[in-house]
Amino acid sequence: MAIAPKTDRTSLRVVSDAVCTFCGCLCDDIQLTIAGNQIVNAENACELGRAGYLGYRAEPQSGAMVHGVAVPLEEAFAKAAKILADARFPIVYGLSESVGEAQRMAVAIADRVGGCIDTTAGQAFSQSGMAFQSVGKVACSLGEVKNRADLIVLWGTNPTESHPRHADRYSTKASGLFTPNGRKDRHVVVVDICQTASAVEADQFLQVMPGKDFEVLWCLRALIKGVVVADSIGARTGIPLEQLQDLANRMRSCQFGVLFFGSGLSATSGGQMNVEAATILAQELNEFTRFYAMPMGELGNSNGAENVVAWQTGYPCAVHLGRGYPRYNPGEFSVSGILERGEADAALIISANSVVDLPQDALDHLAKIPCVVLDSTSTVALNRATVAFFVADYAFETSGTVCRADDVPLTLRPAFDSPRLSQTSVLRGIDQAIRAMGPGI
Amino acid sequence: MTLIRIKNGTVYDPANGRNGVVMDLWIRDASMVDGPTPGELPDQIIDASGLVIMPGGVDMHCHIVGPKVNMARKMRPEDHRDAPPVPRTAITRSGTTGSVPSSFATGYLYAGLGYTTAVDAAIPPLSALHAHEEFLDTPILDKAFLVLMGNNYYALKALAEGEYERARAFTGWLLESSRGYGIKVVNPGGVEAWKTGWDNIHSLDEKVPHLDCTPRMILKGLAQIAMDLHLPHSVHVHCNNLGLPGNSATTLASMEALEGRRAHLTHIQFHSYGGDSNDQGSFCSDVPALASWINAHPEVTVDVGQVLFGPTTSMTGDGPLGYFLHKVTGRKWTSSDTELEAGCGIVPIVYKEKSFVHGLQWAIGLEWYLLVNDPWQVVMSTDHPNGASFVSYPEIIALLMDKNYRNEILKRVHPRVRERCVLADLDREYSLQEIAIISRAGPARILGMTNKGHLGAGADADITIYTPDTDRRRMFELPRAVIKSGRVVVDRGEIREDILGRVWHVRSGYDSGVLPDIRKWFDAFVTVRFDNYGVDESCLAGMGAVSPCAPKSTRKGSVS
Repeated sequence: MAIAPKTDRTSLRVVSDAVCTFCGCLCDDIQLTIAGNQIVNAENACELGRAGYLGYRAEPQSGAMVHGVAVPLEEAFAKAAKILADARFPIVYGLSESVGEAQRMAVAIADRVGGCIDTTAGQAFSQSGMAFQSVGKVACSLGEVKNRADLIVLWGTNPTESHPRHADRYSTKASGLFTPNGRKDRHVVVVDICQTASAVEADQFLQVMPGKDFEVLWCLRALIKGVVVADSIGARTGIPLEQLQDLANRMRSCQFGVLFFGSGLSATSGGQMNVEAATILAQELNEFTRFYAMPMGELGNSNGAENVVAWQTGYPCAVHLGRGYPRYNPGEFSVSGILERGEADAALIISANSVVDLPQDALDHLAKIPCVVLDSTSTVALNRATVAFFVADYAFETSGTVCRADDVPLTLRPAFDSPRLSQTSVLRGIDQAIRAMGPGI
Repeated sequence: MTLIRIKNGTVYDPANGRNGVVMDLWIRDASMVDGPTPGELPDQIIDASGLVIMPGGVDMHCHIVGPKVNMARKMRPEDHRDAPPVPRTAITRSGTTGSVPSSFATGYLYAGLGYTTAVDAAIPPLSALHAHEEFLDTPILDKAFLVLMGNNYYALKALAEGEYERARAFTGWLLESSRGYGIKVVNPGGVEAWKTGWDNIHSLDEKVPHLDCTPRMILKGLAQIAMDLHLPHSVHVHCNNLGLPGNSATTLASMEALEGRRAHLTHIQFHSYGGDSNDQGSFCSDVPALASWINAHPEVTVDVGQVLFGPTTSMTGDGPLGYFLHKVTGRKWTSSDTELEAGCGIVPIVYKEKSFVHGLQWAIGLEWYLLVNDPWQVVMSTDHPNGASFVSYPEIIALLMDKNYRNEILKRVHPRVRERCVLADLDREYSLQEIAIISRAGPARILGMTNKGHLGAGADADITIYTPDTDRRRMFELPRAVIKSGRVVVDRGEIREDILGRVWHVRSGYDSGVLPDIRKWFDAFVTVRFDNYGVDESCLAGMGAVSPCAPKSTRKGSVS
C-alpha cells in the first residue's frame, strides 16, 4: 500500500481510495478530485461524505497562541508543558478526531504528568463498553456480514440516514460470497420506537414502546429457549407475541444473523443492560446458528482511541495515572465527572469538538482552569485556550491510522498537505518540552 | 563504535557447543564479535565471574498484540486490577499486569525475565496494521508475528481448486503486505466451518463447507508453501480438535499428513489427550505415543503450551474453541471473526490444582519436555496467556530441573492424575544447557532467526546473565543483567534503558501474476480496498528488519 503522491500542481489532482471520516462507516473507496485548495468531486461518497468533502475551506490560521497572542511554537510547547507538568490534577481529553499516532502520544503525556485520560468514547463506553466487560461480545468484521448474513436486525438505529452506505457496502444490500443476490438473500428487521427511513426499507418493522427494549430482548431469549411467554408481552412492549415468536424463529433458523444496535438501544436509560441483553441473546443463539450483536459505530475515531488507551494502560477509558500507574474507574475518573466536581486544575484538549457534549457544570469549570487546546479551526475553545495550537485537519490533512467500528484499521489518505503541524507533532513537541523540564516530572 | 568485554562468565551457548565454558564474550555495538582487533581495548568491561550466561530468551509462541489481545484487555479490567501495577519511572512508562499486561509492561516483564525476542502467533492479516502499532509500544523486545492462514478463504479455495501455485503466490504476497513472519494454521478448516454454521470440523478428511478442501489438504499445502517460499520458519500448526479427550488421534493423523514436510506443532499439550471425546472421565495422557513419533521425525518440532495453576485468559484464533470454553466455564465470552480470514475466542479461565482435568493438563505438558529425547525439538511455552502467563517460565524451569519438586506438586494434584499419565515414572532432570536449548537456542533455530539464540560472532548481542542458585525458580526469575542489542537494559530487575526492538518480517518474493486475481477477489468480497490493505513500511517507524528467505542449506551457513 502506498500513500498517493501529492503534488502542488494547480491542475486537477486525484486521491484514490481515500477513507471518508464523515460517519461511522469509514468507507475507504472515495476518489477525491482536487483543484487547488478545493475538493471539487468526491466520487463514491454519500451525501454526508460529499457535504463534508466539498465543504472544505482552507483554514487561514496556523501556528500557536498563548492567551490569544501568536507565539513561536517552541514557546507554546514550553508553556503547555509547564501548565501540564505543574498541575496537581491535569486531564487529557478528546482523541476521537485523532489518528492512532496522536492518541499514543496523548497517553504518553498523561502518563508522564500523572494525569487522567479519557476519550469522548467515555460517554458511550459507559454503556456498551461496560456491557462488554460484563458479558463479552460476539462480533465480526463487516465483511463477514456482507458475505454471509441472511438475517439482519437493525435495533435503535437508522443507518439509511446516519450511515448512508452501510447497506450497500457492508450489510442489507451488499452482495457477497454466500449472498450473491444482495438484498434478496437477506431478511431485514428493524426494531425502533418510530418508523424510520430504515424501517420503511426493511422486510419487517417492529415498533417497540420507548424504554421497553430490554423486555423485548429478554422475551426473545425466552422464546429462543422454548419458554412460554404470556400474551401480555404485547401490551407491555408494543410488539405482539406472535411477531416476537416469528422473529425468534427467524433468529434460530437463519444461517448467519446479526443484530446491529445504535444509540437508540445503547444510549438510552439502561443502555448497558440493553446491550448486555442483546449480547447474551446473540451468544445464546450460537447454540443453533452463528449470530452476532454489534454497535453501528459512531462518527470519529473513538474506537481507535479506546484501543490505544487500552493497549497502553490496560483500560479503555477513564484512566487515572496520578499514582504513577493506571487506575480505572468510569464515573470517578471520567472527565465529565472530574470537571463537574471541580477537581481538575489543567486540561489538554485534543480537538475542541470533544468538549461540546460535556455537561454545563463541566464546561463552567473548564473555563476556570488553564487549558491547552489543539484544533484545526478557530473555535471558541481554541480562542479561549491558555495555549492554542492550530493543527492539521483530521478529515482532510492527516495521514495515520483510524479504526472502524469493527476494529479494522485503515490508513487515512490526506487530500492536502497542511501548513499546520499534525496533532502528533504538536503532542510530541509538548512531550519533549515536559521531558526537558527534568527527570522529576 | 562501542566494544564491551563480558569477562569470565560461565557460558551456555548450545548452538556453538559451549556447555558451561568459562570464557570472555565480546560485543561490538549491537553484535557479537570474536574479540578485539589487535591492541584494541574495550570501552566497558562487565565482570561475569561466577555468573551464568545464556543468549537472550526467545518466546516463539505467545499472544501479546493485536485485536484479540486488546479485546481481552478491554473485556477484563478485573484481570489488571487484581495484579501488581508497573509504576512509571523517569525512563519507563507505567502499565498494568495480570494475564494480559499492557503493551509497555509486556516489554519490561519479558526483558526482566531475560527474554529479548517474542513472536505473536496469531494475527489476522486484515488487522496487521494494529499489531504493528502495538509493537511500537512494546519496548525492548525484538518481535514478529505469524499470519493466520488455515482458514483464509482465498488460500483454501486455491488449494481446493488444485491451484497450488496461486496459493503459494498469494501466501508470499500476504506475508509481505502484512509484514508478517510466517504461516500460522489454526484448526485448519474448522474456523471456516464454524462461521458457516457448523459446530466444527472433527477429522482430517472432513470437507470444509462449500469447498472441496480438507484439513489434510490445508496442512500439506501450507507446509509445502512454507518450504517452497524458503520461509525461515516452517508452517506453524494448531491442530484440529484442541482440548478434546481423544484428540491425540487427530494430532497423530496431522503429523502423518505432513508426509515428511517440515512443520512446527504448537501448544502440543492441548492436543495430546487420550480417552473418549464424549466422556471427560476417560481423559488420559497420550504423550508417550506422540512423543515417540516426534523422536522418529526430526523434521517436526513442537512447543508445549504448558498449563500452570492459577487464573488466566484463554485467547485463540479458534472460534469454535472459544465457544466450547464459554460453555464449559460459564464465563464471559468474546468472539470476533475476521472476514474470510480468521476467527477469535476469548474466555477467562482458572486452572485449579484440584481439578482432575487441569491437573492432567499440567502433567501432560511436563511429559512432553521429558519424553522428547532431543531438546532441539521441544520448545518451552505456555502459549501465553492460554496455559499461563509467560512470567511463569521460571516455574517451568524449576519443574524440569528438579524431579523432587515436580513430584511434590504431583502429590498435591487430583489423585487420578497419577493413574492417567506416566509423569511419576519420569526421572529425567534438565541441565542448564538443555534449558538454554528449549528457551532460546531451539526456538531461534526453529524460527530460522539465525542471529538469535546464540552468542557466536555475528549474532545479535542479546544476552542474559544469571546468578547461579540451587533455587532454579529464583535464579531465572531475576537475572543479574540483561543485554539487548549490546545495551544493558536490565540490571537486577530494574529497567536501565528503554529501547525499542526491531520487527522481523519476510519478503519471500512471489509471482506477481497473482495480483489481478487477488484484486478481483478484494473488489468482490472484502470491505477494505486492495490498495488500502496491508502495512506500509513507514508504519514500522524504522524498526522493520527483513529476515532472509533462502534455501535452508544456504541459510545455515551464517550460524556456526
